[in-house]
Amino acid sequence: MPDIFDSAQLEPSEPQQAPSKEDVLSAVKEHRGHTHAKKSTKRSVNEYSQVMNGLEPETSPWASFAAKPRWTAFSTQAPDEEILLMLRKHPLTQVGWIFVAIVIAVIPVIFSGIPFLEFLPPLYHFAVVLGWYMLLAGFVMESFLTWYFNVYIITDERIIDVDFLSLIYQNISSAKIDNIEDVTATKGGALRSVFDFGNVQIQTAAEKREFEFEDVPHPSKVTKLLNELMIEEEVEKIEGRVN
Amino acid sequence: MFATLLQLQLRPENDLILDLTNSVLFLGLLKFIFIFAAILYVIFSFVVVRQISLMRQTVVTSLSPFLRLIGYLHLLLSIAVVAIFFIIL
Repeated sequence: MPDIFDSAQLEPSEPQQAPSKEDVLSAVKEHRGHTHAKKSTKRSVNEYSQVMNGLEPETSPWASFAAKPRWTAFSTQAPDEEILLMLRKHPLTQVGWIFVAIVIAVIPVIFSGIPFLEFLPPLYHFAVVLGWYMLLAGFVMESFLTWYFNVYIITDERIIDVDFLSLIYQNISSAKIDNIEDVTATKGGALRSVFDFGNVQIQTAAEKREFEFEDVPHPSKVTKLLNELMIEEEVEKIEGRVN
Repeated sequence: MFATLLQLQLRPENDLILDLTNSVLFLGLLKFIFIFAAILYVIFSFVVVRQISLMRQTVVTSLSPFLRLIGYLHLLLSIAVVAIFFIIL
C-alpha cells in the first residue's frame, strides 16, 4: 500500500478551525491601535498654520468667519475630519433684503391713513394686512435660511461648497486639498476693501473644476490657510504620513 | 357751488361702485381668492419645514433646533391664517 494511504505516517497538522471570537476581537483591537497610531501622526492645525494659530474656536452660530467652529458638523464629514473654517457671505451683503423687509413691514403703517381699501368691509382690511405680514414672514425666512445654510467649509482634508440656491435646490460639491491647483483672492470696490470681504476662487483638478467662495470675510486669510493646507499635504506625502 | 355740483354728479358712480363691492358675488369671489392664497401659503410653509429639516441634516449647527422650531411655528401660523380667513370673511 502506498505510503500516502498510511495516515499514521503523516505528520500531525494543526487543526483548521474557524477563528475564535477572542482572536477576531484581538485582531480588531490591534488594527484599531494601529489606525490610532496612524491618526496620531496627523499634526494639529495650530502646528503648521499661522492663520489658525491665533484664532480661538468660534462658539457663535451666526459667525460668517467661524474658525474651528464648535458644535458644528456636516453630513459627509469623516470621523477624523476636522472643520477648520466655516464661511458664509459677509453680513453686509445681506443688507439689501433686510432693507426690503423693513420697507415691506412699514408700508401698511405708512399707508394706513390713505383710504386705499375703503371700498372693502373692515374685516377684509384686516385680512389684507394679515396676508401682507405672512408674505413678509415667508420672505424673511427664505432669505435668512438661504444665507445661513449657504456655507463654505474648509477641513483638514477637503473644501466643501454647500449651496442652497433656493428652498428647493441644493448642491454640495467638495474637492480634496491635494486637488487644489490655484487659489486667488479678489476684493473689488470700496465697501469690500473697507470691511475686508471678497471672493476666493479655487481651481482644482477635481470633478468640479472651480470653486468660488463669494463675498466671504478676510479672503486673504482664507487664501493663506489654503496654501498652508496644501503645503502640509505635500509634507505629509514626503514624510509618509498619508492615511 | 362747483364742488357741490361735482359731488352730485359723482354720487351715482360712487353708489355703483359701493353696490358692486358690497355684492355677495364680489365678496364671495374675494373670500375664495384670500383662502386659496392662504392655502398656497400653507403649502409653502410645509416646503420650508421640509427644507429646514434637509438643511439641518446637511449642516449641523447649534442653531438648528431653534430654526426647526421657527419652521414649525411658521407652519402653524399659516394654518391659523387659513382658519381665520374661513371664520372672519
